[in-house]
Amino acid sequence: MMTPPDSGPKEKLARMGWLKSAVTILALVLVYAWCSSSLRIAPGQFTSGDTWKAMGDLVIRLGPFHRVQTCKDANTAWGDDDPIAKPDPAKVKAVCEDGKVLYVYVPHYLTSQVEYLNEIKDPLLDTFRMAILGAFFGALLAVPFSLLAARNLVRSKIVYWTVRIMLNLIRTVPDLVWAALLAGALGAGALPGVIALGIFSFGLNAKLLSESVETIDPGPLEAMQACGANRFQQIRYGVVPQVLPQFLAYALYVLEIDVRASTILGLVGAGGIGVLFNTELTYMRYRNVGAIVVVMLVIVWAMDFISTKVRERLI
Amino acid sequence: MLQFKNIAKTFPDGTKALKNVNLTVNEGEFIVIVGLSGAGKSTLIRCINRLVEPTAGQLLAFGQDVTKMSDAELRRWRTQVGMIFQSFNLVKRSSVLQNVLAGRLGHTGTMRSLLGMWSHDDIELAKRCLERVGIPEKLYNRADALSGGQQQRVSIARALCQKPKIMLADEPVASLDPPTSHSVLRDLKRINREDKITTFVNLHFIDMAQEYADRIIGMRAGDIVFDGPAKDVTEQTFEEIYGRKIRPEDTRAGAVREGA
Repeated sequence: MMTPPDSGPKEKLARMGWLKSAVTILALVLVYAWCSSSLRIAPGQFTSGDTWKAMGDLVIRLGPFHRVQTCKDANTAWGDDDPIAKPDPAKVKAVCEDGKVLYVYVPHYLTSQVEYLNEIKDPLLDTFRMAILGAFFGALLAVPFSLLAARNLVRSKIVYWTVRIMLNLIRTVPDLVWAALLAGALGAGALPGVIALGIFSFGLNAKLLSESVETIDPGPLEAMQACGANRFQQIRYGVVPQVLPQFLAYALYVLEIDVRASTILGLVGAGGIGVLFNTELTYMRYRNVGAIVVVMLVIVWAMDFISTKVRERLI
Repeated sequence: MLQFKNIAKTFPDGTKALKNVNLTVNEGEFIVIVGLSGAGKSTLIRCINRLVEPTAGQLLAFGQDVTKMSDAELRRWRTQVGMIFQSFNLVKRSSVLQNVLAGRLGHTGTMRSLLGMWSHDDIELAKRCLERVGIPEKLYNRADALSGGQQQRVSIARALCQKPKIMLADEPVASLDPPTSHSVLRDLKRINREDKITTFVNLHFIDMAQEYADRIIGMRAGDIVFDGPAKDVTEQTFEEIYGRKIRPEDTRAGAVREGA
């Protein structure tokens, strides 16, 4: 069972375990040095107060707080969501004269957020609709191509490799790049988003499905052949029942990825909630950005949860 | 009805699986082909429905040369040739009924079958076939919920559903236990008698060959080395076919004792 102890160079190497660790650490240090030096990031910048302060500032402003740092802010901030509220002279003084930065709790935060969500529910639903359409077309189109990319069904090497290479090429282009390209060609809107998600889903589904098809039990296929079924019938009765559960699971998984991707496609002009996200970010309305981020989190998490549960039952 | 004329099969790697096989088969015969594994039994019966393409020779079926058939003709010919396999080759996730109905594919239009629109007659036929192999109650069970013997019966029902003239069975009992093996072969024999279906069975158990065959064909290294009525066959004949002494594992009964 065990290989006999080897007194040659292998054993010597085994005794120098510390060398392995040393080489590993050295390699990691070199990789770090190479990356950070060409990116011009000094080690101190990761730990500097400014970085943390800026990040903290963002988190606070994504939540129910307003940043007050100029005299003008100080005079208006207390009333900007609530006309009855009056500026607090002590705080105005702290900002105007002492140059302090203050964070002010936004009055009626929750109600205003709910109102805002109500306002944006259409682009939110659009995001969902884009994801579903893209996933649907992608899955549908993947079926014939996955059969052509399965070695056990296609005898022609030319067809097999052509389809394979095409699928690989499609998958090397990220969905965001497809969306940007198509938005450039078709104009901003949901259409380039749906097509981009469709292409992306197609590539992923076809790849996953063709691999399932390649691992089917060849027996039923042989039996279908033996009873005089034609090629379509052989696939419908010998292949489809064997891969159907996996196909549904993959399609759902890809939909899950599509929902996640669709939330940011708007950044490049391809419709959905991302467009709004981009606008709010440009105008620095961080509270609204925060609301969108929370909704995205909830949507993606819910989609994740549902699809995992359903997929568990399918396979 | 079936005539092999100098049928040969050489695989692309140069293996000669069949060398010049000549054979004439009459309607309704129950033929058991024996031989060690690699002797060419499987290749021989697969030449009949061209799951293996012969590389030379002619195979006349009712006067027509099977080796020259076009794709459409071949499919039509295959509908007349039922086949059962060692590993049953059922679609495990599908129901028994779906599996049996698959036997009707060759008789059903592409569109109808893709949509799963089976005719009433086909469904009735499938039920009758299941009754004939003794498991009518399993209609809606999933195929993989059945025991090995039951699965092999489903695959017999699937072949029967084709209303075949010929039945090919490639090691049908190799993955079954002895009592089940006997009942599966009894079913095949009964169907052969009742429907006059010419039946080819590949076996390597000599006791079962002697018990069920009308005619035994012995194969060794791609050649037919024996062909005669089962009653003429003795243990010595088998030793000649196998080219060695008979061992316990060559019989169904002995194989079990070996395994235990």
